[in-house]
Amino acid sequence: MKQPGDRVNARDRLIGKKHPPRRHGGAEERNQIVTTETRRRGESEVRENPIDGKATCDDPVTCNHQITRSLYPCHPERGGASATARRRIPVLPPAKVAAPGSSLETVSYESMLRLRRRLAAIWNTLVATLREIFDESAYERFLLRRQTTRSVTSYREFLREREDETGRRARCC
Amino acid sequence: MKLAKVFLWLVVAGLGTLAFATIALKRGEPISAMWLVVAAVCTYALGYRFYSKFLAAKVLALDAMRATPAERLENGRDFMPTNKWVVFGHHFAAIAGPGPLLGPVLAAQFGYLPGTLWILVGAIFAGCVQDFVILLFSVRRDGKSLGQMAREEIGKTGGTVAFIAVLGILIILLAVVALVIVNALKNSPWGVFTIGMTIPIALLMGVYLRYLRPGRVLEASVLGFLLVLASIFGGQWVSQSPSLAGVFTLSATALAVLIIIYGFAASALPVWLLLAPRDYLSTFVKLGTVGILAIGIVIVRPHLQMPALTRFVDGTGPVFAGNLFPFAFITIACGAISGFHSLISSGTTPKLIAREPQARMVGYGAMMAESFVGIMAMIAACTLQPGTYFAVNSGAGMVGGSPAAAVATISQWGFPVTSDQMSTLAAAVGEKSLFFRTGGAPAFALGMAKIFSDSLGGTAVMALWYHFAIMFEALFILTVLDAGTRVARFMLQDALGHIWKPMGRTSWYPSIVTTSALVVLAWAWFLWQGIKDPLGGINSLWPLFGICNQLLATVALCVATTIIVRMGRACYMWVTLAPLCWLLLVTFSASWQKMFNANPLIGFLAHARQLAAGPTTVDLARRILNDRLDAAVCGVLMVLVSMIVIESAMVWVRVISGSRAAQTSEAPFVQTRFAEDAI
Repeated sequence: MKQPGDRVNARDRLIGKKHPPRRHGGAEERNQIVTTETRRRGESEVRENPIDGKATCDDPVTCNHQITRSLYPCHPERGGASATARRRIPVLPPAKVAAPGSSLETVSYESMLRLRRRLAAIWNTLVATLREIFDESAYERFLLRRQTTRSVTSYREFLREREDETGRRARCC
Repeated sequence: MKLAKVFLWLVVAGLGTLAFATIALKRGEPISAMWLVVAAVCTYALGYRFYSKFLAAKVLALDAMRATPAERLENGRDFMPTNKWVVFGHHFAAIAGPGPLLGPVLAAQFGYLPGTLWILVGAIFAGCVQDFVILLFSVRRDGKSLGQMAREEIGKTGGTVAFIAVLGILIILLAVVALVIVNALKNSPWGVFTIGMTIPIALLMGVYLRYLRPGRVLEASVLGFLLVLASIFGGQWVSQSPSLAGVFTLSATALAVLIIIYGFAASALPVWLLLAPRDYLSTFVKLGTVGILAIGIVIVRPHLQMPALTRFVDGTGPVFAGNLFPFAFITIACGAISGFHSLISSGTTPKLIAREPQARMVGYGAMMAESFVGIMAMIAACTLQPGTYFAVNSGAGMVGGSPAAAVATISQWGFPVTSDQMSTLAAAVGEKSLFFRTGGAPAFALGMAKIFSDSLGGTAVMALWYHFAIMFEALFILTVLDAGTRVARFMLQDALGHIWKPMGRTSWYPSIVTTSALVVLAWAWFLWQGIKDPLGGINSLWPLFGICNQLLATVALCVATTIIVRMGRACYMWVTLAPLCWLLLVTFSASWQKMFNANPLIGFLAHARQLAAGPTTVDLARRILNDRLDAAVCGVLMVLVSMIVIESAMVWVRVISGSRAAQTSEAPFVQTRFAEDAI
């Protein structure tokens, strides 16, 4: 579903389709991460004001941005509820106010984990690209389609099936 | 956040402007190649962020809700929704060929400035637009080819003319790439051995894939690559062996005969045995080497020795004759815009696109990457001393006939070079001589070897890098040669099948042999003409190839403009019409000059007249016939393309004036099953 601030595609504009605003889990999840983090450190925490229902917290320095997020859950920049923001890295409190040891360790562990995930994704895409370019994926799809296994016979059939297409594939100058 | 973005793009624009100013205004001293890289990267970033986005949103109205043929017709075979990065890699591997490497090297005779400007501006406003638009239109028509789209959108004549033009262009292309390889390998035992070895290596890979490890293509390609590397070392040993060196030292004529035999064999043999494994091997080397070259340039940050503009902008260049306009644009060809890409964009790629918006990244983005390859080639050529560059790239007939005369002539032009320098350089790269190696491949290999050896290994390994570069280009070119011959064979079989049905059967051996022979003979004719040409062959054939390539791009842009008009978006037709008009201006003026220019170095007919008036030689009649044939090819292509342009223009006028409905033959809208993701 689209969010306010998201780009509307041409077709939607054409048919005049409107998307009701929806709260994404992204901002909440991120707040939750930060809240859990701060709670674990026993420093400050965002909580709902019992009088006006707005967010508040003990430490204005660490919680400023958390309050902003709570107040603007759907705002792409402030609340970070857009699709881009969902992918954004959770913003952690500045290191200078973090308790010694634990937060830095968590930051480094989490960033390492994220880096590892990203590297793995890049590697997987690279391998998938090479497998597509070198027709390995096509052969696997063939095996799946024919419900057969990798063998000299099946590969021969695969080559026969693709011979016409491969022969007609122009190579650029 | 928005301000930060605006600031970021202003910084990119400012940096790009600074780089362009440095490239354009600095005179009299070498500049760092990094300025070219910075200018290119900033231009691509701005072009992609703003112009391609404008095309996607306003002109083409990419629709994330529309199901692509890959989704609707998914069969696990041709149609398959694929990850956008995978399609990008696949598309780039298919469009990247020897053209963007050789064209900029040849165009460097005008200096680095004109070529660089055209590669960047041409790519952003013409090449990338063509690839993107044709890819999207093919996606919206169930992956139809350019010819089919031309037939449906322009008319029957357009389709037939497009078919003839493509076949003619293929023939010229194959002759030119064969000539490049002959010029790179003549009298080079090291090169001949290395390239020769790629044939048994490919056969071995074919057998390995079929019988030993079925389907393990990446594994076979790595093994093949290792064997090719071993053959480079083997080539050094062969070139130093007194007995074997003689066997592998071949003249241009002998090499041409071997390449003609190879072309026929590759076209007639089963695909799995030679064509497919060689294709895999070539792609493997291509992707790796292009990446390494980019890294090498960034590490070494070489200085450009070639001036920004040379005296040859007046048309007296020794690499090829002709003024800056139109010949620089014709020569660069694929680095800025290539008609051939439209065949790929309306071939395999549209059948893999999972969602319409991905066409922007694949079509526009992959062409930007190709253009960057052209910039790298320009850098490689311009890092050479200009004297060396001209000594290598000039035909014997252009600079005096002997090395001593060539050195004197080139030094007289203000590009000092000595015989000793050339001998030392030749010895450093393991060659006997580097004079008169026209075609661009040896010059590019020299530049690449210089960059590589400066970043890794020093001059001690320059010979290995040089032969690695030659092997890389030759592998590229031979792949184009065998695949192109086969494609042309299929096209001919399809056409002859309408006359006599058995000829259309692609598995009937008499048909295979006859059509293969016809195609090979056609390009062999031009190849033979090229190797017998005292001016080096490239002088006449490369412009002919460039004209063919750009005319094919003209056809693609005609189809694109017609579809945009028929979509009811005539107000945006300028996005394809402007590059179309430019290409028409360039190709028609180049064709006209190649036919009728009074200078025998440029005009085919003037050259024929000069030959007729000169002393009688054994092959005089054949050479005159060749010139007239080249002129006729130019003329026929001009007429064919004019027919397409006129027919297209009539459609535009009818639609805009309202006498014809603004309708296209798009496949009906079907909502994608990824609609939730799309939103």
